[in-house]
Amino acid sequence: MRLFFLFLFFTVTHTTSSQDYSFIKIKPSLLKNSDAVVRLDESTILVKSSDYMEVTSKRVVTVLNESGSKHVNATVFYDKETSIKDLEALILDAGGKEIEKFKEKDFIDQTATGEGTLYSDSRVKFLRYTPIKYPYTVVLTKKYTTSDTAFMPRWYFIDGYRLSVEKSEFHLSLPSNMKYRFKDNNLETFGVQKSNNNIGLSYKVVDLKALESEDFDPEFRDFAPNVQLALENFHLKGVDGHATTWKEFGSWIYNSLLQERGELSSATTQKIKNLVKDTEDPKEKIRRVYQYVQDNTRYISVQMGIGGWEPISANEVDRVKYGDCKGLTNYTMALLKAVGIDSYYTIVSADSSMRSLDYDFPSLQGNHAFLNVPLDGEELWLECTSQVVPANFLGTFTDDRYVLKVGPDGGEMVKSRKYLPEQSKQITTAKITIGENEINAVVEIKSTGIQYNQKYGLVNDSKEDIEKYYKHYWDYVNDVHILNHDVKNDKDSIITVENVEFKTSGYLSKAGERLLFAPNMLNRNEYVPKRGKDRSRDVVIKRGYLDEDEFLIELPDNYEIESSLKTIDLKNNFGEYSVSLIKVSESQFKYNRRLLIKPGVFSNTTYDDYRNFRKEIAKSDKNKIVLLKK
Amino acid sequence: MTIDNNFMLGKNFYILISLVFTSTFLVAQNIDYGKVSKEELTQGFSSIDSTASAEYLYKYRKTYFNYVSGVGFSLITDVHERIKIYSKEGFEFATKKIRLYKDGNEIEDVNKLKAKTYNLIDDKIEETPLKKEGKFKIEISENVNEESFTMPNIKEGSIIEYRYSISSPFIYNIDEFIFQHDIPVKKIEAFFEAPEYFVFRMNVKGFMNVMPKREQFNKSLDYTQRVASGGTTSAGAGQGLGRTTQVRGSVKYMNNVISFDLSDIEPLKEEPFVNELRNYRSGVKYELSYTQFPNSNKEFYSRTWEDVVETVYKNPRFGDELKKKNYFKEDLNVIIKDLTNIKEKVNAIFSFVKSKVKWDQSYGKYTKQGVKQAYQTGVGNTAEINLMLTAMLDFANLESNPVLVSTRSNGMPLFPTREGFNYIVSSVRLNGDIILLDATSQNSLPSVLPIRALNWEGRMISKDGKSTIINLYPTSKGSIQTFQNISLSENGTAVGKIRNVYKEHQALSFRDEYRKNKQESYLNQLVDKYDGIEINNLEVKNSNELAKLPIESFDFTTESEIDVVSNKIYFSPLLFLATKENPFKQEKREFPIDFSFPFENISTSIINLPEGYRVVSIPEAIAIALPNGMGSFSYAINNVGNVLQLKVSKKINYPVIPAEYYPSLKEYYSKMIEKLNEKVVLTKV
Repeated sequence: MRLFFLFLFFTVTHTTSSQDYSFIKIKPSLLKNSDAVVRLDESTILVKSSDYMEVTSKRVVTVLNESGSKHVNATVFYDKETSIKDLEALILDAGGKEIEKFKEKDFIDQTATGEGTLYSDSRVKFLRYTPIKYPYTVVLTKKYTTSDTAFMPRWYFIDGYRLSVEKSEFHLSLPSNMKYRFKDNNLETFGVQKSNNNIGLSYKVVDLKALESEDFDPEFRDFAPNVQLALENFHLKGVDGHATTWKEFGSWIYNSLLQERGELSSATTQKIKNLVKDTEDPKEKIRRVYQYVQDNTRYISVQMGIGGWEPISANEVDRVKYGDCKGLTNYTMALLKAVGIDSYYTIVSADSSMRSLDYDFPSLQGNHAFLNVPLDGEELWLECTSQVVPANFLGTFTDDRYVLKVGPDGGEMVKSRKYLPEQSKQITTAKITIGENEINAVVEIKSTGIQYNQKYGLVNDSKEDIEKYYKHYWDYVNDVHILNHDVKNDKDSIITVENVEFKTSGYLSKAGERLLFAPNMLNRNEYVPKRGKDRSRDVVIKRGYLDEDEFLIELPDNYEIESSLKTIDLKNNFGEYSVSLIKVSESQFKYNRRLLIKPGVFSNTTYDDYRNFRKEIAKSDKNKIVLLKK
Repeated sequence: MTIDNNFMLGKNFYILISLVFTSTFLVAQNIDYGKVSKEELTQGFSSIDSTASAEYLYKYRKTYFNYVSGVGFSLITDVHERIKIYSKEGFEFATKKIRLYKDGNEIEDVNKLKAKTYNLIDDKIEETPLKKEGKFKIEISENVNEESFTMPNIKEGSIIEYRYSISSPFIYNIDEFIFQHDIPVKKIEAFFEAPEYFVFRMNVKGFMNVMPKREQFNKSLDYTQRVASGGTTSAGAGQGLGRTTQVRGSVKYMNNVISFDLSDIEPLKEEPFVNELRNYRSGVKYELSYTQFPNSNKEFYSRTWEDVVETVYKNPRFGDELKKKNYFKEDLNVIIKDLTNIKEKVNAIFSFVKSKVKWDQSYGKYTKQGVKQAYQTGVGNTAEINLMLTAMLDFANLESNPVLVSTRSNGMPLFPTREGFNYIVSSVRLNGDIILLDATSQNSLPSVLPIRALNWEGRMISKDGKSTIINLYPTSKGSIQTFQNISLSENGTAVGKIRNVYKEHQALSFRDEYRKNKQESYLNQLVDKYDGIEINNLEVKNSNELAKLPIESFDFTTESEIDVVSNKIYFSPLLFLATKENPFKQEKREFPIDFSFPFENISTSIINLPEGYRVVSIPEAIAIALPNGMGSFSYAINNVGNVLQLKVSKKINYPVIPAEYYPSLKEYYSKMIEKLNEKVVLTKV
């Protein structure tokens, strides 16, 4: 009896003390640079079989100010396979006293279908709470079960900038006969403790200080501590899978999701054969088939079937003439096959952050599909969701990263196309005629590589949008009146050629008898990285480019150059920059400029050097010459 | 609300009637579904706007009432649209999304959807019908479903055509008839048909000149009446049903039709400084004025502004909530007990409400949970917060009334409609002037409403239920007074100190910006705004003390604003404060230019020149003005010894400038910017 009381007593004190989330208990070191403090983030994944797991978590966040509210993360997604078992949020005041309670029914329930998607069965429940006072604390407990074990949630011990963590714990527990793999990243520098055995994993960390974001940061996941998980035998929307290597993952995707989805009607097969019958050149065949796809289909996002992983069949796409990335890629693959060309369905993590699929952690990853066509000695890439991109061009969405090629022989990790700075080139040539009140400029801009990526879309824009674009592109020139413009997209050589003529009366500045004119009127680079205090992380410059400019400048009658530009020639690890102004005749001068920005990972100590380099460029691009009346 | 309710005659007997509306009037549709011509298919661009990516060739809509026995009236909207797709940009029009509302068991539905794509293949018209796999339905949220469909076989040059019908139980809610779209429209036929029992008011908006056609026609309504007389005082359920008699009858009534037949409608295009583009989109909105059923009295919904106000006032979630005072009495007495000055009282109550109840970011003219609950939980919508404020001011014996407002996002309240208002602010009379207050914004001041509420006119409701128009736009100017002291050095670096004092709306904007961000990110914003200057010792005074003016000061260093060329130095004396870009770039403009509030920015600079330099030239002083006193700009610079003194003043005297003044305004900005960027020239002695 006495023992029982004691036990009860301890339990009670234990719970009350563990729930003291008053603001004053937070260590001052965790308040520095923080918008919110995670008091506790605890999650347990209990895998019962390859098609059943239970995820229980508790997250306690003290929000210090308005910007901190986004770190509460009181959101849970669900669908046919995932059901919410528990969901509750308590709001505590600064003293840790409960002021409000939200039960599951008080959460807002709505579709998680994005703007561009017509259908998906994904839904979301989230908490809508208006803070009365800062700081406040949200205690969120949730539990869900799912049969989808193909995606094991990745655990971040700290999940954002300007957020500190008092305690973060993560546990995985599973039957001893179930094999799993895990990979932990960046644990040491943050002092994360771990223990693991055949029935699970356990991690714990305390007192993580808030991180600040910096310009040219590496990706957050590349330096923040996190753990990745995967089951060897997994389940996805009713389909079993087994994989431990990328080769096996590729096989599984090929066999379970793609096979028998490539059939085409004989009429279509015949039509596509006719399309290429007069050529033997495989590249030309690919170009024609791709053009056919672009002319005849469009992109529509519908997420049905196996978790958005199974393409609609080629026949179906052929009939309705639309599909999502998977459907259109599979369709193009089938058409190519009909003309005797093998190609590979390829999975990529698509966005401009250039994120690779994890080379040494095979698991279901990526968010997009496109097509790889190997030819003798080279690889062509086809982005099948676009009606305008040329064959074999990749933009910032999919360039230069590890992607998974899928075929009958399984999966293979390969790098997608990288553009060297010299390939991402923009050449601007112009004739600039200066009048006393007005300047006229006739400009030609040629763009390739990644710079092409930013231009080709212009071709389809309306006249008004194009004019707006140029007014914005030259926003440092006032009163731009576009006289005419013409944008050509040469899909064969993958180059855009823009011809623009404009006049302005707002560019020269007057200084008494003198006119000031900045010769770089058409391609200024004014960007200067933010001043960084104590730069701590590497400086990552993802893509490089090369700009070459040559402007022929005609002076107004009766004016001469009183002072000209200094020639500049800079070279360093980050790139090259040179500028010169030379006299061609009495009234004509030639302005030449070359800017090369190199990609790379540079040490944190070089941040100021990079900033100074950009500062010098920005300043020099604004340099003026002085014209004086004769 | 169904017609059955209006036929309830008493408790001794009740009538069940079923009405069968038989329409004898068929609205002729001029363009048949399925009859697409080769000419339409071969047409390469729109004759209305040759750059358009797609075009409505035909848009038909008919909205009318339908009676279903046992259910009541429902609203039916028939839609038929034919769209030509000219370019790939226009492919988005091949997907149609229909938003459907629901409230418990009452849901809107799409029926009879039929759709086809037409292509011209080898000079033959190829038709591809929409099938099941192209149709989708999702539940967006508790009150919204979305049905969508996407057309098969779309190419440049395709024509799509669809027809469907929406049935809605929300018979008093007629979706706006939209005439103007982002793409051109070749032909529109629009019909709205309502039985005489429902009297709607028609509100036309936009800049297009559209003429409605009004028609009336007779309709007869056959009904079956079941009369049951139980003979007892309580209409017992069991015994009544067995003894009913059926009576057949017929009612004649009028059907009112309003129709529009429009053609060649230009697309609506975006322009800068526009208060909500949709305010200018041409269309028609119908709102219920009153209902009058046979053997019943008229029931008014809204017709005049007075009606609208009355309807709102009578709503228990408005008027009754305004009268409640007990919940705050004790607390408020403590706040105001020692205050005698009226102004002090207003300020004390205003800040009390702000500190007590935080805005939940939702708009509303009616309370959600009620003022008492909002007071207790500390969270409320616009109605709860500002009705509470009004009640408190009233309790303190001040003359205070609520003001109905339509926010910028809700459009302008051009016509007397209930939906026209979606927001409330409070007003108080101070020394004969009406002062507007909005306690949903922490940084707002008396007479300084948040921008969202600055939209044309509001309606002040007084205790007797009468209303008066209140101009919401502020008359006094938001101002920024800037003082800077700059020292130039020979190498082209400028080091200086700057001090800004913000007033009225400029103070509100400044505080919103500054308090939203941490000081650090505010500083980064400043650096971005001012072309990457380096900032040190940023200091802000009175950011939280609303009674005082916020003052911001910092030290700066900049190299980019000064050109040193051989032995001369060139700079525009306002340095980074000089506006460099004309915001008005378009050649012409159709919509008024909305600055939100009148403003006045005055800056005074003292510039210390480097040793050993003298002034070669300084810009000439100028003063320019907009027509009719709408605004003015002045610039004056003096050189005294080694110092330049500069005074620049910019004023815009009205919150909104009509579009016809756009050329003047553009020219004014252009001249102003040219002057601001003119250079001072120094030379080495």
